[in-house]
Amino acid sequence: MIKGDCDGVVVVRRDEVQFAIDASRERDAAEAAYIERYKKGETPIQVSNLAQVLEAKGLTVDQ
Amino acid sequence: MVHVTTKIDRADKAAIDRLGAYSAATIHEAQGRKGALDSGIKPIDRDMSFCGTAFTVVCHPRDNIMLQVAISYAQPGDVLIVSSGDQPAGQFGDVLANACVARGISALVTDGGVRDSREIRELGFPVFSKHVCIEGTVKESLGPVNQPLVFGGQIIYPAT
Repeated sequence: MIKGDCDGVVVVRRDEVQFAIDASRERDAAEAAYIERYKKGETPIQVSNLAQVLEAKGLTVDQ
Repeated sequence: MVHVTTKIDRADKAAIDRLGAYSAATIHEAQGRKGALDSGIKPIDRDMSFCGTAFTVVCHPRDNIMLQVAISYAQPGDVLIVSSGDQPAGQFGDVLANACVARGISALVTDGGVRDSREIRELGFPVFSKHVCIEGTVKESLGPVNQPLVFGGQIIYPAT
């Protein structure tokens, strides 16, 4: 099956269509939850859970 | 050798509608970051979208005779996948777009070129192309319809 929109085109194997549908639904739900957290004031570091990985990489901030 | 295979196992409408509800980017990510076609293949109008069963055809570069054959044999709901060697030429215009609409074809995707893009936008037929090109084509070389092919960097099986 082939899907296209303003961003581009993607092909999905026939035997993977149901998986793609289910995984897409889960992904959209997760993204909607992230957006709600941003609206409530959280930062990308919080929402994407980046604090530990940034610390491990040695990121420094002047505050 | 048979050039045109017409009997393909088309997806059912309900599954097409359910998958089509999600964006191409979401589907690509959700299925494991695979299946993305060449990002240079873009809609001639950003509001265009489609989801459907692939009906594949190989056109010789700058030749559209097999595209005319494909439109003749495609069924309502099919998405025409037109592999044409990534060469710019006006292989598809408003006249053939009207033929597609009349036959109930869902969309056309090509790594070749299209023209009459304003008229096609006004018609509202979804066209995704690598090139927009005013130069005309010839009708010379035969090629396969509904055989597996590599298109936009992905393997496309007929009826995928």
